[in-house]
Amino acid sequence: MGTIRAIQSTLFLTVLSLRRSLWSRQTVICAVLSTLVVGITFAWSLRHAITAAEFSSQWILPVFVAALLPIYCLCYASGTVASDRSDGTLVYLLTSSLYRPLIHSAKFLAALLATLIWTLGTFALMAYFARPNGWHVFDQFWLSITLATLAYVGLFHLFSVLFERATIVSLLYAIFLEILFSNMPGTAKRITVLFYTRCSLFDAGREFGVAPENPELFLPISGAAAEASLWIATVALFSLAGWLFARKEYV
Amino acid sequence: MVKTAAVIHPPCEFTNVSKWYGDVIGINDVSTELQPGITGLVGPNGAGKSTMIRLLTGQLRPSIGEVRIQGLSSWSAEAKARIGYCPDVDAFYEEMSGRRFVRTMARLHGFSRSEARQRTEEVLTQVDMLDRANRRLAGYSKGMRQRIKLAQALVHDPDLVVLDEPLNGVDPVGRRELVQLFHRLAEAGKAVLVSSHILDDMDSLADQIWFICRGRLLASGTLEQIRDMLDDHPLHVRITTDNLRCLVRELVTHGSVRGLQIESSIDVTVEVEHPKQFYQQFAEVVAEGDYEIQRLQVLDASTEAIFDYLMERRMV
Repeated sequence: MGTIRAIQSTLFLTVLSLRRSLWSRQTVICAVLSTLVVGITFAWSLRHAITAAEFSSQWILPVFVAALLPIYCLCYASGTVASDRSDGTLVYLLTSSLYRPLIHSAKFLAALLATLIWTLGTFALMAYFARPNGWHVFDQFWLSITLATLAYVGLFHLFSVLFERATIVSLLYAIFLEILFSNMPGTAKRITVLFYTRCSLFDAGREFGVAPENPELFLPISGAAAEASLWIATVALFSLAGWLFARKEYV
Repeated sequence: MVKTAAVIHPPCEFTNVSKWYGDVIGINDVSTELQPGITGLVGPNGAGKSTMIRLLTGQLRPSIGEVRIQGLSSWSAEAKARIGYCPDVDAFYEEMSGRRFVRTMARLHGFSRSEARQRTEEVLTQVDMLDRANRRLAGYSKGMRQRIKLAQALVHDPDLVVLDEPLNGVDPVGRRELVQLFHRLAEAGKAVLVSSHILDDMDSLADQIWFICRGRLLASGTLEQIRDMLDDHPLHVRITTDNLRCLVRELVTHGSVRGLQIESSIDVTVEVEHPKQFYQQFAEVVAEGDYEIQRLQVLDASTEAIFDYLMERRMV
């Protein structure tokens, strides 16, 4: 297959995977969750004008970033390869003329796009209803949210390449490791995506007074270092998943 | 001027291939070549058929040895472009129609939108699904699903077609049509490997047979070649003649005849020890005695008989 045809096929697989993942149960789960948080934000804004500090520290950080964002990522990224594997349709991809790294890239890209639609879309809707300061918070936080999405998608996609029951593994990781470790004192939390996301958000939201409750226990790193870590984690996880996918025998 | 001879590779080549799954051996030191025409891959469950097919279609890599498709490693994308694979698993993108599924597979093989559409119509015609392909796959019968799987395997016009249990669930009329299609593919110069546990299928289908058991390729070749190889294998031949008594009297003196069973006044079943020797002597007897032989039927020259024999011999 020539280069142009390979690119065309990869794009086709990306669109196919995106369409199939958006037309799934996961989308219903994400839609319910988004409707809920956007509705609550709207109801809150009816009671009084929400300040940027309130919106960030009472809503975005503890609810959206710590709970919803990993769920959105998990919904789409943990099924990239694993769902094809459990459905028995992976064989069609693995015996097609497409190079395995391209199949892997298409699957990752589709999951990333689907997840970004939900994370940034829901965040944007929440910001829209969190009047009058919501858009300002969105403006400051969108990059951190995007980077967190990238890192989580990279991680759950790696699980999907490795495990047939990737959703369960991802859920266990999100519930136990992320929540447990990210709230531990000391440096153990530095293995979690949530730690770097929070550091990036604390840095971006400094002007609203967003900061860790106890900096001596939390031991934050700079925003730039956190963002660089999220980038590096994404690239490393994507590369590792690609390397494994190119070699793994799916029996 | 130096002339260089073009190297012609066989459609598929196994060279000292072994595959282990941990401590379990999938196939053991298999060396063989697939030739154009139809080859049947037969063996009992757990024999290693699936491992061979997965190695051939680049889903597995050998632990030792190499599998090559027209000289290319079967793991490579270039090799996969030359293989059409019809898997045994009954899995599809169920929300799609048959036509869209085949078109999707064509796009994954690198065809443009218009080429994919054209190729899809061609292969749907080949598998006789043209007028039924717009229905959703979830509503298809087993036979229709098999045909769509076959269509997606042919959509990129591969040189080597690997069909894993392709006749499963297909009604007798459909079976006949598909067998005719396989023959047409073979006549077009393609190598077709058909795995089946229904050995009767192979008799009318395969030009060559690969017998596999416990991970070892026990025999490969045409049915006749295998029969020749097994000339010590007892054979049952039914002979029909009006002059049965005299013929039986002559046959009992033959060294190659182990036993006789008279079935009727004109039929006798002869158990032959060395078939080649028997046929030579039998021809002489018939010519000298001027017997009129109405029918000479080999009762167990089917794939199944050879297969059973191979399996029995293996177990001893």
